[in-house]
Amino acid sequence: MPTNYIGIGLFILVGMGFTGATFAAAALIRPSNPNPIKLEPYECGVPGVGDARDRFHIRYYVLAMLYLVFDLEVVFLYPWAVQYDKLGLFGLMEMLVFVAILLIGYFYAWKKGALDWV
Amino acid sequence: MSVPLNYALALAAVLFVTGLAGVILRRNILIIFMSIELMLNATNLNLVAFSRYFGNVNGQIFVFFVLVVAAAEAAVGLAIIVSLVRHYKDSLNGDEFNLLKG
Amino acid sequence: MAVLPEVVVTVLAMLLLLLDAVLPEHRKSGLTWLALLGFVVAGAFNLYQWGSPAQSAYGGMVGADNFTVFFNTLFLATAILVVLMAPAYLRERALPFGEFYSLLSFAVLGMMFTAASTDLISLFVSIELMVIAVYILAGLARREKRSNEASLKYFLLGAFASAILVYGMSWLYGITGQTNLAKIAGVLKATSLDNPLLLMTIALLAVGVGFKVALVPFHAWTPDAYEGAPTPATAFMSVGPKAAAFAALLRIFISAMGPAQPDYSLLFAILAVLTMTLANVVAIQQNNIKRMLAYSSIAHSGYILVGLAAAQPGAGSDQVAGIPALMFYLFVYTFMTLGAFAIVAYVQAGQVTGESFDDYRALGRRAPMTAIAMTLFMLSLTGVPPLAGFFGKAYLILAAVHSGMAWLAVAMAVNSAISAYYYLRVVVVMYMSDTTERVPLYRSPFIHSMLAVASLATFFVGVFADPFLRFAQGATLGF
Repeated sequence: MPTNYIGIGLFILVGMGFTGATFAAAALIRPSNPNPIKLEPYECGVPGVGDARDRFHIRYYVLAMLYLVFDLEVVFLYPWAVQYDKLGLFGLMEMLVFVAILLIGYFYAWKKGALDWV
Repeated sequence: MSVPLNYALALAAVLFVTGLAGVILRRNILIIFMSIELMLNATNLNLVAFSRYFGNVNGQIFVFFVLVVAAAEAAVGLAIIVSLVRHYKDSLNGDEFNLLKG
Repeated sequence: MAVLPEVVVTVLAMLLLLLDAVLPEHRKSGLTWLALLGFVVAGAFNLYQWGSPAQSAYGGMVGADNFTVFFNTLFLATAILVVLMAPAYLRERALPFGEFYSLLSFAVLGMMFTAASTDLISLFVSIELMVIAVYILAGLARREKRSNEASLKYFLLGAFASAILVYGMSWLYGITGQTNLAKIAGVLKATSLDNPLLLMTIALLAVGVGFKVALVPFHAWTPDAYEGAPTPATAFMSVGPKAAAFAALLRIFISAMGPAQPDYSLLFAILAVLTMTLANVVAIQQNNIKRMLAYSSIAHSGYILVGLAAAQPGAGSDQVAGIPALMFYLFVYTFMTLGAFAIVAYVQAGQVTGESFDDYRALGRRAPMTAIAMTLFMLSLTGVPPLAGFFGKAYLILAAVHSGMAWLAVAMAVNSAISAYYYLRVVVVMYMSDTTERVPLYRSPFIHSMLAVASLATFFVGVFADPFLRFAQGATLGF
């Protein structure tokens, strides 16, 4: 029984070892030239403001909620896609109705200004 | 060789009871909410384990629906919490929402 | 098309949502007419299906038979009455019309599918569709602290209950290997019932649904949620989701777990007595009429549960069987409770807070017809003959006696007597006290017609109880 887990154990060891080795190699090879600009999180991007542990603006929640709902509805597309050949035209129609209903929700959110970044 | 059914059920039961205890003992509404999600995920584990045990897909279909319902619930629940926190000046302590009592 | 009424309500809900997004603000009161039209059309399609052979749809997930026709009638009647009572209240408080009606339609859709579900999966999804819409309805007055708080409490306890319920469902699936209710019943019939896991499953499911129908000791959310929610939403919550939760209770415990009836009958009998007694005792102490009605609604859940405790699966449409009595009582309860809440909404709409008993002082003189209607609802809720509430209780008591639970019948009769105290208190305040206040009541043809329908139903379902009882009996033939 425990022999079944030898493979997993090896996999974990090799995985960790490989990560450690690459980091070590990178630390040895790369030039080290720290300066204030270099140390910014996004060297070529917009300068960071504040701390990531700060409170987020409430607007993010609205977008996050919309994302959450629409993202999970996609779950239902997978079984349909897997069985597409068997379900045929009827399945396609059902799925179009499903997506149309989702679009109504999207349209409502849009019209109500949930997507505006005021 | 696969994990016996009982192991999965025991893990699900532990998760479920953890969530149950969280709902009853914690006062922060976000943590209560997360505990409820934990209970739902314990259910999902149960369903998947049974589904595999019986060799039919009903349980897995059930999991799809539980996931989506949980997402819808989360969206509505977070909206309610955000709306409430605006009124109560940044408190998430469930004991402070006591306007209604008999 | 077995699910035509449901399709109509689906289209209605989405149409209302779209129109709410595109119509200018001043034209939105027209949505009331659209909502009424939609529910009436769905109701007509629904009644047309009465007596036609049972069908199933969506791969056996949903069924259509007399049982669903009965409950759909109940739900659509609830929806129509709520739509009629809402405009006065919504306009006074500047609450959004379109969203109210749309959420109402989605909740009604969830209720209809709950009663129609023949599979654990569809049952769960339908219950959730219903309650998620109702969480939002409770919090619709989002500028009011109390409405937000009501919504939050309802949401947290509702989601908690759903989690327990679905865990119970997962065990039911685990015990039987099936999610189809009829197949579950088949497996349970063939196996031994003294299985500790089955008892645990019964407990989980009872707790889950017990929260939804507000049984003691799972009722803590009810008074808060009912008090804080906008009154038309409260009226809806106290009737619609409760009736749907009872439909779910019947689907789970009779359709699927009927063979295990000896295991749970006593459990429900005890819960019923606990619920009605505690709720009645607490209701006496309330000074806010919405809280009083909330406890009254909990007490009525206890009465209705007597029907399930006294159920004898297989007895079907027997004259004194528990299930028809339960369904008949739900029918009666719908009209008298909606009526009582409509009067609260009506009194509130005239700018007074309208929630304390003092606001009802001398209502008999200020608004004679309204006071008569309120008296009718209160007497019917008490169970005074010949009103509908009396016959509802009488059938439940008969069913309890018939199934050998005389103590349950006695408990119910004693509780009805206790409840007279707080119901009649409203009547006393309306007729036997004076006030200097001269606040005019809000006038709306909608709410007047709603009150007329609810009063007539409360009166005539009592006087001519027989056809309605036969309606309930005809609906249980499937069991």
